[in-house]
Amino acid sequence: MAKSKILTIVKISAAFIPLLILVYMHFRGQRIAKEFYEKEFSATVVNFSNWQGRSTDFYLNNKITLNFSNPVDGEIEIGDSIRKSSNTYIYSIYRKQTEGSFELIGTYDYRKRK
Amino acid sequence: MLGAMAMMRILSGDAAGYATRTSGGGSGMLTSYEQLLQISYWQKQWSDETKRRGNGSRKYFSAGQGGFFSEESAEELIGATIDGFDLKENIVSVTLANGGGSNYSIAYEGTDFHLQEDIWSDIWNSNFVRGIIPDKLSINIGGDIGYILGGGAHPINFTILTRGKEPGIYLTPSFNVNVGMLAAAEGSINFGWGNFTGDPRTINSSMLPGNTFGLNLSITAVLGANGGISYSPIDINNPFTGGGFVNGSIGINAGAGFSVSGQYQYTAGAAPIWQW
Repeated sequence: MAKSKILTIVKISAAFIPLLILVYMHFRGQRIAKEFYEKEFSATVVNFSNWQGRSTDFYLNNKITLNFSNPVDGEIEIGDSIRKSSNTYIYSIYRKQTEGSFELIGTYDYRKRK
Repeated sequence: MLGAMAMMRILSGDAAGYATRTSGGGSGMLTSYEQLLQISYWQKQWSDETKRRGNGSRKYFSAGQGGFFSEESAEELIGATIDGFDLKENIVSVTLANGGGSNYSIAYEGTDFHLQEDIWSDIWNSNFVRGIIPDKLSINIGGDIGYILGGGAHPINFTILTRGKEPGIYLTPSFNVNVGMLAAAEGSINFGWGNFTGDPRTINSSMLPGNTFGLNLSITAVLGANGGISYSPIDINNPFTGGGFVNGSIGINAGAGFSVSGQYQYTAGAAPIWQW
């Protein structure tokens, strides 16, 4: 096979890289969701990133990430406490009040968009 | 889940008007999430009933009554979000009333309570009309250069949101990274469209910036045509389950060559020009 034909095949194959990235991220997301489902934890929101534009990632101190659609209007903030039981996608967000108690801010499903 | 008495009262018209819905069953202890699901179910019953009566006008109300809960679990509902059917509700206060024995009924008051009953809105947001007039339309002018790997900018990129919470015209400049069989250089004018995979009523301008992954094809002698498909996920870590926009585009381009390219596009922001 001529060298130019091989190069052409490589170039055309390379065109599918962005779509392959999407497929890879999908299966990666499924695996992470399964791990989330199984875990029981109580963690704190320590950071966030909104580079994605359409949504914001909130990072917990146990390496778990929660994603909220933008705009995020106080549904979750740095310092909030996240509590979740095992074998469920449901988690609750608690926020520390001035008197030191925690108030339930919201209950969400990991699989659904805010 | 819904007690027979409650169903009868709703269907008989007792629930008509502004804010009264009652329940006469469900004495079991429910978790907070189950309570939310139950309330969402009642919202749907209410909406279905008002639609059945042929009342096409838009209705708003800000309070309602739920079923029977324990005192402790009812108070946990404060601050929770109901997310069901075609409404979203934040509960801001809960009032308990003794429902007999150890059970309590609750009355809750929320914010932004909205039942979508406008028939024209239902038609506008139907899949049929969305197939004719997409959720998003765009036009952009820009250029790309590269060989196997390249990039470009489309600083003049206007997007029209036709549906959702913030319909309007937006300036949405974008930058591309292309990979594949690329024409050395080309300038183009592109017309695009896109439909949201979720409820079109929830679209907002925050959904315009971000990542887009696509596949483009162009054939150019001096002046040629190009076309492409792409997908703009809300969350890159859950691209399909998290929803996104399915997009298409056609355009005319000037340059030389034939290209089949994969494209990553980042839309830097969305500046409103005119909203309605």
